[in-house]
Amino acid sequence: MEPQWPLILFTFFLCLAGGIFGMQGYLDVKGKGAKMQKASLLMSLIALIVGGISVFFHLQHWERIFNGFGHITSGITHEFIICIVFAVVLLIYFIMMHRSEDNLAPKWCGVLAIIVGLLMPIVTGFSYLMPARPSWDTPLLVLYYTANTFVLGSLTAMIIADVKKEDDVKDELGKWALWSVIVELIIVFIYACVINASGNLYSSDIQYYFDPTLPDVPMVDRVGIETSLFAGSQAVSFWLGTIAVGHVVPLVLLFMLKKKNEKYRGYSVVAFICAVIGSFTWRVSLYVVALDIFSLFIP
Amino acid sequence: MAHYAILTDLNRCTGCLSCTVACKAINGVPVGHFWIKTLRVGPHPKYEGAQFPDVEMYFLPMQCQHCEHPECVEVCPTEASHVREDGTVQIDRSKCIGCRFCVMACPYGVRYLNEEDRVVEKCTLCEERITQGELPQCVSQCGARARFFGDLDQGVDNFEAPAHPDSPGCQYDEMTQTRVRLKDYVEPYKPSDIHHVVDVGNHPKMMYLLREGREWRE
Repeated sequence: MEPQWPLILFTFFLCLAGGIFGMQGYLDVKGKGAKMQKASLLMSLIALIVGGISVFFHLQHWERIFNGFGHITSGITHEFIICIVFAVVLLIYFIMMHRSEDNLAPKWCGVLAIIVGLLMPIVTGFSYLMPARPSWDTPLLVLYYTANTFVLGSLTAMIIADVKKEDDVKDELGKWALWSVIVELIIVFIYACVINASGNLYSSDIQYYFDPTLPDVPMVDRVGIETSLFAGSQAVSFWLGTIAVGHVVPLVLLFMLKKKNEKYRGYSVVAFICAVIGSFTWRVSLYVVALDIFSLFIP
Repeated sequence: MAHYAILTDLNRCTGCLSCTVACKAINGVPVGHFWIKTLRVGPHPKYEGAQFPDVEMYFLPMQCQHCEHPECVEVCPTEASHVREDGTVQIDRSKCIGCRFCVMACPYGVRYLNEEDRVVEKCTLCEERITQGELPQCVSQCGARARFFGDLDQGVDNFEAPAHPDSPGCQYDEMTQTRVRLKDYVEPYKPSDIHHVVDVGNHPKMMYLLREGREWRE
C-alpha cells in the first residue's frame, strides 16, 4: 500500500503526546519533575493538536467528522474518544498542578497521565489490526506503538529536563530511554522477521494470474514485497533508517550519556532526532508491506 | 432478512468481461475503477512438473463479496458502510467521510475512492434493480450464462439467470422475469464444488462453482 502520510504523522504525534505526558506522570508519581511540568504539558498538547490536524488531511469529507462518533466498533471512533479523554486529563493535570501548594500535581493526576499516555498507542495500534492485512494484524504492531511511545516520551522528557535544569531526573530518564530503545529494537527486529516469513499467506496457490484491466502491470510480487525489508526495496530504509539511525545511534549516544560527561549534553537531542527518523522509516515500511490478503491486483 | 449472493459457474465463464463492462455502464463507474473485475487465474501446471499443454486456468470475476461479517462495516466510523436488510453491504454516500479505513479493511481490494465525489464506492449488487425483482446487471449481461443470482435462504439450487422469452416480441417485464434455475440449467455439481475466495473471518457470500477435476486456488 502507498504510505498514507497523514496517518503516519497521526500515529507518530499520538505516540509522542502519550509518551511525554505519560513520562511526566511517572515523574509526578515519584514526586519529581516539578520544574518541567508546564513544558511537558505544553509539548504534549502541541503534539496532540498537530496529530489531530494531520489526520484531517487524510479525510475527504472532514466537515462530516462528527459522524465519527456514530459507530462504536470502529477504531477511528476509539481514537477519537481516547484523544478527547487525553485532552481532558491533560486539562485536569494542568488545573491540579496550579492548585497544589508544592507546584506538583497530585499523584493521582500522575497515575491518570500514565494511564492515558499508555492507552494512546494501544488504542491506536488496535485500530489498525485488520485480518485483511496480515502485516498489521499482529500484537507486535500494538507493542511497537507502545515501545515507540516510551522511546519518544523519554527522549523528549530528557530534552525538557535539560532545558529546565531538572538535574535530579536526568539519570532516571536516561535509563528509561536506553531500555525503551533496546526493547523497541527487539520488537522491530522480531516484527521484521515475522513479516519476512509471511509471504506464503497471500494467495500463494495462485502462482500466475492476469488482470485484463491492467495489461501492462506485472503480477504483484507478494513474496518479494514481504521479504523486501531484509534484502529488497525496503532494505536501505530498514537497515540504515530504522535499525542504524533509528536505534543503534540513539543507543550509542545514550550509553555515552550514562557517563555523565557535560560535553554529551546535546546528545539527547541528536538521539531524539535519530529516533524520529527511525519512527518514520519503520512506519513507511509498514505501509509498503501492508498487502491485502487477496493481493492479486492493485485496486 | 434475505441473504442475496451471486454464484459464478467457472466451468462456464469465458472471461468475456461482459460483467465488467455492464457494471461500468449501468453504474457510471469512473474510468480506472472497476466494481467487478474478471481475473484470469493461471495457467498452472495440472500436476507437478507438467508442461504446456498440460495446464489449466479459469476466470474469476472479483467484486464486493457482501460478506456475512464484513470488516469494512466494523471499521467504518460513521456507519456509512452498513449491512442492508437484504444482507447486502451498502455505502451511504452522504455519511462517508472518505477515511478509507474500509478500503484498508477489505481483504479483496474491491473498494475505490471516487475522487470526484470523495466517497468510497463499490459493487452495490445493483440494489436499485434487485429491490424491483430484477437481476444485477452483471448477471443479466453475462455472455456465457455463468452467473446466477438469488437468496441463500432459498438454496443455491434456486439461483436464477436470465433466459430467452418464448415470444421474441415480448414486453420488458416478461423479458426480465424469464429465468432459468441454476440446478436446471448448468451441468451437475456437488456442494463440494462450490468455493469462496479466501476467508479471514469475514465469510464472503459470493460463490464460485468449479467442478471436480479443476483445482480451486486461494
